[in-house]
Amino acid sequence: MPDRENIRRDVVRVVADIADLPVEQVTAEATLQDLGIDSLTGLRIVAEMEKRYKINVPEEAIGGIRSIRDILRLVDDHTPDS
Amino acid sequence: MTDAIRPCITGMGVITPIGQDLDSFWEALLTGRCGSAPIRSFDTSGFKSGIGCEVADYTLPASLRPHVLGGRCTELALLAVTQAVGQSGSETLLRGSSETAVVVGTTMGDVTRFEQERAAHTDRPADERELAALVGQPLDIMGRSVASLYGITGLVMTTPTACAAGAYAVGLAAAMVARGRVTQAIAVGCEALSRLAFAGFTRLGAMSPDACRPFSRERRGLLLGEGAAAVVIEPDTAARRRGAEILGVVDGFGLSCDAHHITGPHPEGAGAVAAMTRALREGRLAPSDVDYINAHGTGTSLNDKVESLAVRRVFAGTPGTLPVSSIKALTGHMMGAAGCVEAVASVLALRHGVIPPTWNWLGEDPECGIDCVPNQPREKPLRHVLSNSYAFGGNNASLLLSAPRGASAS
Amino acid sequence: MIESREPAGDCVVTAVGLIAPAGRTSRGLHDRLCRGDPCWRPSPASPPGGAEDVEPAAASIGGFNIKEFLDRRGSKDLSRTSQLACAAAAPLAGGLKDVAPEAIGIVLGTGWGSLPSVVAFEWETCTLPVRQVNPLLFAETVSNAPAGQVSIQFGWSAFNLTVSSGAASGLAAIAEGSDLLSAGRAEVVIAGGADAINFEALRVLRAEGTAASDPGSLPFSRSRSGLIGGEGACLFALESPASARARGAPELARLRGARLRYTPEMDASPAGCPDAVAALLQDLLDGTGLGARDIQLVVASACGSPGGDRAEARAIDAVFGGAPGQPMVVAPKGVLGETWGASGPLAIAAAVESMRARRVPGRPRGFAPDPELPPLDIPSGPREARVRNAVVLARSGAGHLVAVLLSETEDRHAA
Repeated sequence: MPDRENIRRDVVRVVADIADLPVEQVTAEATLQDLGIDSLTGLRIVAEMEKRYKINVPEEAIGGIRSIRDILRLVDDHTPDS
Repeated sequence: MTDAIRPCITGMGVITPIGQDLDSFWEALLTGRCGSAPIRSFDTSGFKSGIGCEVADYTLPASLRPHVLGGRCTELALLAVTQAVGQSGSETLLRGSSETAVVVGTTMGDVTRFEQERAAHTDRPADERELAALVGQPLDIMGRSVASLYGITGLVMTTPTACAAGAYAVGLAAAMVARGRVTQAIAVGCEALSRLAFAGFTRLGAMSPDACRPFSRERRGLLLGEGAAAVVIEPDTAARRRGAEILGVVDGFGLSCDAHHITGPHPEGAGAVAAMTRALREGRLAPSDVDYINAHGTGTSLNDKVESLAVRRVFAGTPGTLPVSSIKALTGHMMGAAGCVEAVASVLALRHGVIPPTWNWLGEDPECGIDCVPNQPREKPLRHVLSNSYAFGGNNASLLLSAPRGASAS
Repeated sequence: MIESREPAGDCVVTAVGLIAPAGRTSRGLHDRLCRGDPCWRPSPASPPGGAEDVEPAAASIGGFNIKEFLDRRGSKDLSRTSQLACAAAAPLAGGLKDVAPEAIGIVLGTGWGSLPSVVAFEWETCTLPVRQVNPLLFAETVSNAPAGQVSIQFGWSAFNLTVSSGAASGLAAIAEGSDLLSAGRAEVVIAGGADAINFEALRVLRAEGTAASDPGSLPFSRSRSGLIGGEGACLFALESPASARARGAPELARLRGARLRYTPEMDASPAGCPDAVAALLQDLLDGTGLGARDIQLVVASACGSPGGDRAEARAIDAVFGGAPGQPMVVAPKGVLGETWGASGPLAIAAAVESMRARRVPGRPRGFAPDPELPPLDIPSGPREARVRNAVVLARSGAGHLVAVLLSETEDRHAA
């Protein structure tokens, strides 16, 4: 089972990098709107998640992403059990 | 004291997925002949859906061949231009003219040859030969080709203002005529379908998997199209003096910029409101003078919602319901060509007194709340039509087009 | 109806922002031109995917970091052209705080537009599944993205126009900008041009002989063999004299008139179509009511093209040459290289600074007069001189011609 804490840190780091934000600002509760992450950046984040974790996020699910927690949940939901 | 010049359209031409001349184009708009089909010009196997609106096979007259400095986009442009010039009867005026402007709007320009060269070599980056196909056909190649065809030595302008480019071309050309900078102008909007654009819009989640349904509930996005349109513009006095028929008048050109997001519109339609308002102000008309809006209406959830909001804001106090329709249901989004093709559709509507409907409509979307003239043409005497176009980069344009008789107060 | 007015009436330049290999200010640019020190070298940079060849000589802006100009998040994801345009716009923003953003319009000229992004995006669609391609890169494949990014950054929303006509793009943008201003579409128009270094294009141009293989190729020079690629961005704030006075903005120069024409394939034609250039210049003078002897400086578009430079030299000589009192001729591409959309605006910046400093740059190092060209007054070194009126010319290889006439203003000591 992938280590949840490691994944959380990794996701936060990737989001911070793509969205050009300090890592400390990217908390699990933060909404994409709060962080000023627009739709294009959101698409890139999802694409990066798919690449890193070998997951496939259905297009319908992308529109429902509102917060960092939603991203973490997506990764969790779509990562196959080891 | 300078006399006011009214820039008039005396010739039009179209080559589109639904018709390659004005008559068949207009007939398609009224009968709902849709231009969408599986795309043939490039491999769509890597994409979820492969539907687009391509221009059917056409024959390029041999006389045009030496003037095609580019590729498909240039061919489409020249075909539309020759129709327009033919209808206007102004060829002798244009030949060798230093007082004519050629104004071309496009999004991608002529990238077809580059894509064709690349198609067999996607396992490696573009080599010099393939790059030459791109570098050798820069953005201004269509305008230069038109100038070459008629020996025009006035100015050649290309405005690559993305999906509003065709409208920008018409408006800027009209403004040049109105301001006495040139004695006639040819405005062109042109676009050839490209795999790049298809990939990009697919990536943005904007691509419909099946049909384009502007303003409809359950609309799922746009379909890409291609084509070209051209209009010949000259001063009203000159047209009358040489006995040319005035098809329509460009009474206003409203410009604005959202300054908000590179692909998404201002959420409250501020830019769209400004463009429409400015067009009306330039034409010295009130919202109640507008009889029909030819919308940008791409069929995406966001554009149609925001455009509807903008229309409701500008025309809030207008008695009755203002008809608003989009022809993109049939033509797809022809990108750089769209704004000019839609200007032509607007002039045809003015001339025939018929509003082309929004086809493929399944039912009302309460978030739009406009009369989109669904699925059936509507007869209505038209004096003034607004045609909207919106683009990446937040570039907005609204053209105010009038019937020759229904002149705005001077 | 749209009311007609005289084409491109008077307007004043009240601010300039620029970025070029020669510097980030008009003074820095002018100093480099006066030193006659070309900005290019054979570049070691390699394109996406890697290439074995030595790149053509090019004048690129070394160490350019957009973050020095903007604190906007995501600015590193913009195309280089967009970054350069935003960097050139940044110095203008401070002086426009008293103007409503919806009263400021933008006109940007770009010769290559989004070509580098098109190449990069195409490659990405070949190597990645469509779900993985960068949507921001797609957004930059439209050539109006740089102007759009400037508007998003600074909120200028009166209008936003992009024009493209090769190396004449930026000067055409300024001509159109002044016309849009006098048509009342904005209170202030930000007009100019931008193009990023473009090795894809340069390699093709070198193979076909348009770009020089010899880095010693200089405009009007005897051994010229083609252009040297460059990059840059330069934007001006244009407004009416009344508007400038009302808000106390410095008047750096007055734009008296502009002319645009098209003459196909100047470089390819043996005669090089000097008549068309001469006619354009004469028409410009006639329209402003000035004579050839009223012009002290001509800033040429010459880029090192054997045929094009000859055509231009002959045209300048036909209109201005002969008797004493002919204007000085400066060819900034001998220091900056061919900066495409930025070239016309950078030439204006050079002219404006020459007016302010009362000093005109001379020949670049390595220049050798070409005996086959008419005897233009190309100063051998920087010359102290008062420039009351200057003509700036832009010419694209494919035949777009633009000429503008600038006059000094009383505000000589404006920054």
